[in-house]
Amino acid sequence: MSTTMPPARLEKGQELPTAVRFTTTAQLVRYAGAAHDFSGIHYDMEYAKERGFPTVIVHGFLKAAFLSELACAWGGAGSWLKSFAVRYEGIDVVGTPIVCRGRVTEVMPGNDQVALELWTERADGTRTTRATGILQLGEHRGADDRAGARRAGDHDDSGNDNHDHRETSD
Amino acid sequence: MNGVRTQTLEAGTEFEARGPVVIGLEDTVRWAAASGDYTPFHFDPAAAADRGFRGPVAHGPWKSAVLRSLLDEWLGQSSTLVEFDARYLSADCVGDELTFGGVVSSVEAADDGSRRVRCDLWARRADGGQSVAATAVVVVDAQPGGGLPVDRLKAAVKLGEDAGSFVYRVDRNDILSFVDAIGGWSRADDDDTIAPTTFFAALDPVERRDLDLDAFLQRLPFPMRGGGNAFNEVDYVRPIREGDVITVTTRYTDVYEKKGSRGTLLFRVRTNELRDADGQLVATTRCGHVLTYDVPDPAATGEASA
Amino acid sequence: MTDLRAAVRPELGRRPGTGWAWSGELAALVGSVGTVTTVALSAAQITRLRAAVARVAGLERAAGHDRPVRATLADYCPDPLVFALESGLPRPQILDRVIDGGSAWEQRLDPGIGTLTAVPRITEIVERVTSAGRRLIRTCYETELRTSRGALVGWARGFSLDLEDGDA
Repeated sequence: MSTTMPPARLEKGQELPTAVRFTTTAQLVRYAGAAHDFSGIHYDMEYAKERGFPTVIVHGFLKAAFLSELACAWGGAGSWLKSFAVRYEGIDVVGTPIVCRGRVTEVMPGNDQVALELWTERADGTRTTRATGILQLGEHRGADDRAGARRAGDHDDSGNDNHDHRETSD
Repeated sequence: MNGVRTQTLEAGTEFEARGPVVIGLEDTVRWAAASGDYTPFHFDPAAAADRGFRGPVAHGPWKSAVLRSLLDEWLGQSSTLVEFDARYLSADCVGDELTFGGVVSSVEAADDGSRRVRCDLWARRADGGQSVAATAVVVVDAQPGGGLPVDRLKAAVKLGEDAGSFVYRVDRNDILSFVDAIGGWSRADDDDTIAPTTFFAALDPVERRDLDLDAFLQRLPFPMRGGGNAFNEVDYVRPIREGDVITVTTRYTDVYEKKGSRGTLLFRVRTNELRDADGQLVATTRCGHVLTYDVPDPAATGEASA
Repeated sequence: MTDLRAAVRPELGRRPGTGWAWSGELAALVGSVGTVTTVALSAAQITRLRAAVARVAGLERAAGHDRPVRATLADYCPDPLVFALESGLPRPQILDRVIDGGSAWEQRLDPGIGTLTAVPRITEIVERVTSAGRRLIRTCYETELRTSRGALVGWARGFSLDLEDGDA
């Protein structure tokens, strides 16, 4: 799904390609370790219920990461979010599909920055996360893509069966 | 029997004594059944006589249980017994008289508004001798109706001032394991691995529990639900990259409560400034965190000890 | 229970502080772990425990006493000494008579009404001479109680005293 080149055209209202993410408890544990966020509501079922959640829930920050990665994947090589603001409006439960969408709200003069609106939805369409960001597009580096976007899939992880969090809309 | 008004707890406060009460056979039989200690000399006069006692002997732990019940009655509803230590100094038999009493030996205030009350308790025989010597520590909760301690929280987090600075080194592996966890892909600028947009989450002293000024919020006497970020924002001067040594300075900017339909929400908003080893600003972040508490309506509790 | 009498050597004196030579077997008991069990507490059991002290504590009246029942660690283990002995831990009986010397509870978490896991151990055996010149051996039985998820709730401790009678 991701390209190494920036989008061919930029225009206000343009939709980003949709990505659907799934999470597993194993991934939430991995995220907890990588982000040093060990709140039990993300991996301890009984503790999550004691705190009023139906079950283990996905870190808001992880959903934010899904959205920021959606933006940068669309933006292509060298693009990065100069600013990013996300509001968490609903919980997403582990194992359920998290649909990630986005849209261009503004194209800055010079065509090197775009303003985006991004959000996640549950399968029933309820929006659970809303974000905005300013994406700095990368310089065109041509076909040889030295400053590559090296996908995690390009590592030799073909033996890793527990990488079960890939985007499905590849 | 009257309890003690919880506001007047201080060293020297005496509880109203109970007794003298005569130990009955029914007491030891009930306790044998409830506790599982059916040793015969506790309720069989012949077995007691064989052991040289003048009658069935009351269980030591039963005497502890009497004192615990009295303590619970004396200290009122919002109290939790956290320590109890009793020595059984003499055997008391069915037909003997006992008097039970206690006194507060010290009161310590905790930062969540509760009090730690230490007491000396006793059981005395008819001849004045002490049969049981005990000490107890009871945590008496903050008065309900006091609501959330917002002012204490503001002081604890040094609202408006720098609350703490922490230094984190960003290694390539930190970035790669983060990228792996979010299902992203690694990217590089020349040869340096660049961190994804939300990597600043891994550099937050509060999330990492390096800065923990308001831990007492976990111990308030109100049920707590939820507990998560309400929003996150970041403004970058430049991306974070491997090799960066980032100094993160946290400042709490807003602390407030909002009564909602599902409880009382407590909001804490903080900003982090991320600077590199040269002191240059790398990014500024803002995080809003929300907790939901069930705080009873003061009018509804009708606490007798008000 | 092996006869430890032969192992105790009273000729080493009665001076407080020196005690007498520990039999190696007494020292070896420290650290023994009894059978690990689960303890289930029900509301009915709490009622039985409260009823067994209500008369003497003067709390028999029902009116004004309808507070919600809160369980404490002592409700799970009301007699820590008997609990530990029933788990199979030995009880030193070298001197003249054994008695229950005391009980203690230390609670870190609200245990709720449910099931806890109990691990009983002998944690200390102390030999002393009382001010009246009588020997005593005090054995501490400490039962550690945890929730079904492994969180530490606290400890219940029972103390067995093995006493020498007067004018030995």
